[in-house]
Amino acid sequence: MAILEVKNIHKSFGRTEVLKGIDFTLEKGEVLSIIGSSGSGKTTLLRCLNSLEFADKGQIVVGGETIFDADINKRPSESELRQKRLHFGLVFQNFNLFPQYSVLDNVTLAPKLLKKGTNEEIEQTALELIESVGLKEKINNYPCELSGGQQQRVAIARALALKPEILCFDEPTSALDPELTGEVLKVIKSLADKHMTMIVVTHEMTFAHDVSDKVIFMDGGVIAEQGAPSILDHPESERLQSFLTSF
Amino acid sequence: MKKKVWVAVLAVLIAVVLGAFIWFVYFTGYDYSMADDDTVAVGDFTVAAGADGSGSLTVKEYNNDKKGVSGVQLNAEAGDESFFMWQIDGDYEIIAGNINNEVIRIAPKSDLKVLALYNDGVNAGPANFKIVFGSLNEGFVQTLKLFLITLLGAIPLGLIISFGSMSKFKPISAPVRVIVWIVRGSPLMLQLLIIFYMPGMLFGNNIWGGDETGRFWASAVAFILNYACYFSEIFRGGIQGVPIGQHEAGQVLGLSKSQIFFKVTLMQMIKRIVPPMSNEIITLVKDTSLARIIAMQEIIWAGQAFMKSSHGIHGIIWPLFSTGIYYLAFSGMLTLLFGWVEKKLDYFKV
Ligand SMILES: Nc1ncnc2c1ncn2[C@@H]1O[C@H](COP(=O)(O)OP(=O)(O)OP(=O)(O)O)[C@@H](O)[C@H]1O
Ligand SMILES: [Mg+2]
Repeated sequence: MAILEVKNIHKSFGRTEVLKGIDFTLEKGEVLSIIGSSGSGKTTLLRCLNSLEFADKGQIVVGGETIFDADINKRPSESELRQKRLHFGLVFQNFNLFPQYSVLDNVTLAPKLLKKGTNEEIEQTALELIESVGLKEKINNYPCELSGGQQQRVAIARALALKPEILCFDEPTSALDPELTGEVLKVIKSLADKHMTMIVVTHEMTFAHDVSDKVIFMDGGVIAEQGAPSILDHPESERLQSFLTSF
Repeated sequence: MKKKVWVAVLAVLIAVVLGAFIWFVYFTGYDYSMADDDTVAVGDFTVAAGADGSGSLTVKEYNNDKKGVSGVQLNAEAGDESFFMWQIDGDYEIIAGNINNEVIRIAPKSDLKVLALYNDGVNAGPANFKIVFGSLNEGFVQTLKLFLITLLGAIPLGLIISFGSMSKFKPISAPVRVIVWIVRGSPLMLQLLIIFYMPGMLFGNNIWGGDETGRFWASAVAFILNYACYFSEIFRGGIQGVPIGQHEAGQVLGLSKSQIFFKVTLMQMIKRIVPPMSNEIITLVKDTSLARIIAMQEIIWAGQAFMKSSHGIHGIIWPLFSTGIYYLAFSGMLTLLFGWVEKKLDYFKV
């Protein structure tokens, strides 16, 4: 059974309809890449999954549990919402690390506040995660002392510390210099190798092609084409063709 | 090394200036002006011969009820060297006297140039010193009280106003912003006058009462209102300056609203707020002097009182300048304090 089912998601801001019926499913351990031109609604889709926005129509089902249903007119309570958000993790384009905390504290803050274990356990897990993203030497540094690539890797460790079922990335490398992009993509690839379920919004076509199990091409608020990464080699729709030629 | 040399040079400079000042006020005892009701002993004055050789002088008692002044009227020829000024009717308006009460220059009206020294012949320095600084200390205590009460009232009120001006509900945010605009856009001195006198004009009785306590509380209310509006804008900037991404990062990590506020955004707000707040608070130190417009006896009032014959000494102006020392010392301490706080917050950047 699919770990994630997204059904007929619609979302408008005022009069502009940004998402016009998005449907897809994702299996456990799969990596989904979402590509598409600017303004096609990719960020909005991730924000709906993470309950930062609420869709106007549609359902989101995670592991058989409906975490969002637009037909139920009751706004979830804050604690319900927090519970639902924990199914997902989100890595932002501009990292959004907490500047006043060290690397270690950035990773341990949420698990400690949410009492996900004893402080020793949490710190142990955090140290392992930080090591796995290659920043063992930086645990006591502050975000302002790190490069963009290093900050993004901390952000990934921070998201992983809450053990989300599905980890979302919103253009994780597009705020980075090209030479720093590789180190972040390597970390994401290593997660894929460990069968982490992930949704990656990206403009890195090589990455989408080589790492993902599934690719969705969004255009104008709809999924214009989806399938195996091979659709990037042999696009069916004209829109995907012209999108790819722009790279 | 280089830094130490500069500190030493600066210390020497400050010591010289302070030393000169203290010597001046303490050992010379010169008073810099004469009160209208001051008297000069009637007697024979000698006038140094003028360029033309003339040097006659008559002195008679001078009393002008209309002006409320009394003293001596002197009449003399134009001479040289001036030390003090005395206003009289007639052709001559300046009389100059020296330490020994010798009048050595009389100038015609057209020649009015210098405000000069007057000396009563006694070195009143040591006695004056005590009285003056005793009185200035009292004035400073009032200043300090006004300062602390303003902070105590304006910070929480400023926070409330900032939330009001950020409200998405227009009927709240619009009037709040208009009030903030009015208060920030008009002189504090005017606000003091309005708050002190308006109730009396509207209701026929002054709710503040005319005494010192009433004046103090009227000043406090005006300062709290004024500074709350300034602070509210600083708070608004600090709160809105925290990127929305910080809030969202907290949300996707499953934190509650209060956890996000206290553990994520608060520190970043404080970091943004401290530098403009320290500016504003140091301005407040100096602004407290405006309370004198409604005759609250703050420190400059106390200093100036000596010019107008109070505290048993009159006609001296240096206490007024001495009030500057209090302001410098006080704002200097605050500058150090805020510098320390900013340094403490230096470990991260926002
Ligand atoms: N909060 C909002 N209010 C109004 N309009 C919004 C809001 N958020 C997004 N939009 C609009 O929705 C559309 C889709 O935005 P979205 O950020 O999802 O695009 P995107 O595919 O992520 O683009 P990009 O590749 O540039 O990141 C855009 O036209 C944008 O202007
Ligand atoms: Mg986007």
